[in-house]
Amino acid sequence: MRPHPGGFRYHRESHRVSSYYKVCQPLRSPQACAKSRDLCPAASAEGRGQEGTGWWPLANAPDPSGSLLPPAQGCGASGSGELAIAVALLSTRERRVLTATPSRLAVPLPADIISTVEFNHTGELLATGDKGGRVVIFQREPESKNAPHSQGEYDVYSTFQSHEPEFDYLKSLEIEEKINKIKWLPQQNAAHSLLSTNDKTIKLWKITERDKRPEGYNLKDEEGKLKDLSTVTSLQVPVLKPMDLMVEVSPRRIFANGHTYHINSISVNSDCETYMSADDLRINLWHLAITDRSFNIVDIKPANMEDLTEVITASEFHPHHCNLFVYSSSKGSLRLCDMRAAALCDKHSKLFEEPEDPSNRSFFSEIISSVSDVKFSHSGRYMLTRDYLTVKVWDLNMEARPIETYQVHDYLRSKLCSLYENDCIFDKFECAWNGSDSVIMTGAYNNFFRMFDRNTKRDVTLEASRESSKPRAVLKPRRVCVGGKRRRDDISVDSLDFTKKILHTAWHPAENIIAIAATNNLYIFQDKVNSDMH
Amino acid sequence: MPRPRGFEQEAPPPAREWPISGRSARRAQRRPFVDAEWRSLAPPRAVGRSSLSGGKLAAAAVAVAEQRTRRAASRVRIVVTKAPTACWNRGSPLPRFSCGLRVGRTGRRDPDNRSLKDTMFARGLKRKCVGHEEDVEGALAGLKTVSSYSLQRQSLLDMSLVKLQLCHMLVEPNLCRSVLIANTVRQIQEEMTQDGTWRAVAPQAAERAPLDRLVSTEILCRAAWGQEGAHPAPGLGDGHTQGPVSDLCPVTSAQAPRHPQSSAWEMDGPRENRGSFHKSLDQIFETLETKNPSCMEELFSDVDSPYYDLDTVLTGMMGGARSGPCEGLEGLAPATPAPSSSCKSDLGELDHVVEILVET
Repeated sequence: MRPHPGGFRYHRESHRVSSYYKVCQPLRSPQACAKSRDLCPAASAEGRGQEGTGWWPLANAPDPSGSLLPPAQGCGASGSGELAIAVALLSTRERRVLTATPSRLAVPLPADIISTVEFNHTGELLATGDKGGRVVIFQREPESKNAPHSQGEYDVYSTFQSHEPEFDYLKSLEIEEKINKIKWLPQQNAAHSLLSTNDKTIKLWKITERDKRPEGYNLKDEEGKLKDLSTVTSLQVPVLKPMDLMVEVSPRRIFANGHTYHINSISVNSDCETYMSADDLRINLWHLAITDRSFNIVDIKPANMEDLTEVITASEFHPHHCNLFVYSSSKGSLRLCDMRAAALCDKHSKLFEEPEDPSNRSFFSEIISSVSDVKFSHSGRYMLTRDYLTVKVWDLNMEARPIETYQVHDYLRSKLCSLYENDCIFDKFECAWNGSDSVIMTGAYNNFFRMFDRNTKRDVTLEASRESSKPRAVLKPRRVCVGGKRRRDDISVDSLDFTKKILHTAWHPAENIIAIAATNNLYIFQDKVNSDMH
Repeated sequence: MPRPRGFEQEAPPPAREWPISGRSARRAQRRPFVDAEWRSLAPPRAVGRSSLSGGKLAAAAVAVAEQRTRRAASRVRIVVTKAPTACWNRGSPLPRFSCGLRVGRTGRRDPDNRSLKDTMFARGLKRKCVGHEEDVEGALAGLKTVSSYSLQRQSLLDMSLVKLQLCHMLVEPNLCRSVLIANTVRQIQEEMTQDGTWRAVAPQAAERAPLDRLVSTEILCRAAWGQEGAHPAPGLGDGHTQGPVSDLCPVTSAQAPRHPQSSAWEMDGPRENRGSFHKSLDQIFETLETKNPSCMEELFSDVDSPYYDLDTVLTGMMGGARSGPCEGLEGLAPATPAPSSSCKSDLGELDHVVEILVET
């Protein structure tokens, strides 16, 4: 039924009410155990009331009536001005490899590191890809009528090996099987389809369910062996009998040899017929049915490779206009291109670029301005970009500067040289919109992720970790203190763990459910406030 | 599903998502930023920003310089410089070095100059805020700040070069990361060129150069300086750099008497060799990349190897003129870039170097 191939073991607990999980043998690094929280005498410098309305204490049982929570619409404003997202742990998935010794690995195996997370268009399915080339799809359990408060949890639906490591004999280099991106296709029949890509090859997978099988063949018996014809006395019509649900995944198309450089993003067009794939220097347009041909629509490779100073970092189609797409560069610029203008869209229609702030200039200015992710809003009017220290919201109608800028972890600005030294400055964080385009979310270090409410201008820092995710508990907002006055449970900048980074996050297209990939663990959180408002 | 045997990685992929693996990584994780408290390196202001632990950085720079001498010749493949095709004539407009090093008066985000925005790769610079470096009264007072700043800058340059040379022989290196590091190196080199504060190079480097096939930054510095010195005009001839150069004259006064000497020596050397080397290098690059557009490119698009392209990127980035001794380069010319096994043998050494850098 639910396939459990070698390499994964999930510990499932039955639960009535959502947000309860017990995971056995948590994968804990020695640092996490040994790291002591800095408990400092409370002295609040800023007026962010962390206790009080909206937040449940971690150890206590939650207030069933929810009277502590101020009335809120989704993630909107609350009476206290606090970002009223009370997120509770919905489910967590841990990827562990069955090893001979029941060891607590200090570092998770590289193959288990999750490299992409994506909800499908309805939010029913959640796909994750990892460095080992595997794709794991989770499906949301339908809400049961018995317990109206129980939110559907996500369970493993299917697992398959999408890409295998390859060896390029021409260049004597290995092609990693790490899944860079997964994008769902809009569902057009009973089957689900998704595109998954590694550095060089894109594959279209079709996921079908089978819950019936024919029985009563004339020529074969139950095991499939041919019947002895002398025993066949009468003919029968095979009947479809129900069977255990089986999920079958098959590769439908393989789009190979389209890219010389590493593919960093794919995006399905709103016409549901074409999609584009972008590598460091080129963007190709494919038709979903044609695998031996692609059209090159952007090419920024200079004639002389010595002149190369800029690469493409991300690209996406507009959600409604099938002719528009945007791509971002390592220099911090965004280019909106219209495919109607020319076959080769080297000339952009709009260039979005914010002038550099001369007071903040340093040798690392260019590196931290490199855009790591770009996402259109669901409305199609705004774009969200993530560079190393900020997230920015751009209005498509204004090219001069973003309309909103949010600091994700500005306390790292003074540490840029160290981050350059250990290569953390090249980390590519992703960002996400919520369904109503009112809240944006992105990841940071130390398993922190940040959410920004665009309407109330409030933000919150949360941590995705096993220790802080007690059963049925609401996540406590975290704070990073930058010297000076510190409060209890604040983390100091120097004790941040830079190996625990949340690069990949996803938000349910309609509800307030988020999926956070923290190295090899997947956390699914849900907005508790919303769940009580049924 | 079990992964195929042959492709198991022995260690977590280094230097991309994790800090350097091993002992140094665990140390770095425990105290990530306690040791190296760097500020972001910005040009010094009048207020006199406090200098960071210059002692440690100087030690690191020296350590890197020592390590550099032990590298094998095959590594030069990546560090090969290319002679510029244009001389930097003081009076003429700023040339565009064929090696990709650009000296720009204004950054590409000049609002009056929209044409620059149409080409993504016109300039290698982000907008440079010129004029902020001119600070006459603070210069002498901040002498010490300047020297430590240049130490930091040099250390950053060395670190960037090490990063670029750490070639992952199994998997293709990340092009975005390499381009960003290359741009940083360009930026530092250009700033050093403009400030005229190339570090004083030990004289014995000149004799060592024929033996040391690895073109180190000292030689680069010397060569670039020799280029400047070849045109003895007062100042740099560009209005915007007049200020800082004159400000930093006291700093470089010790080096000044050497310049005419070295410039006289350099003038003939690089210049007469430039032409011949340019040809030989062009031949190399033509074999690597097909320059024929359209149909031929379509046929050979697979041959258009990004790995070789990365080499040319890095080659072009290592700007400035070549040094006088040319044997090193000639020895390299026929050596087409092959994934050399000697690279792998040096990985251990480079790991050691990187460990030093991470731990300081």
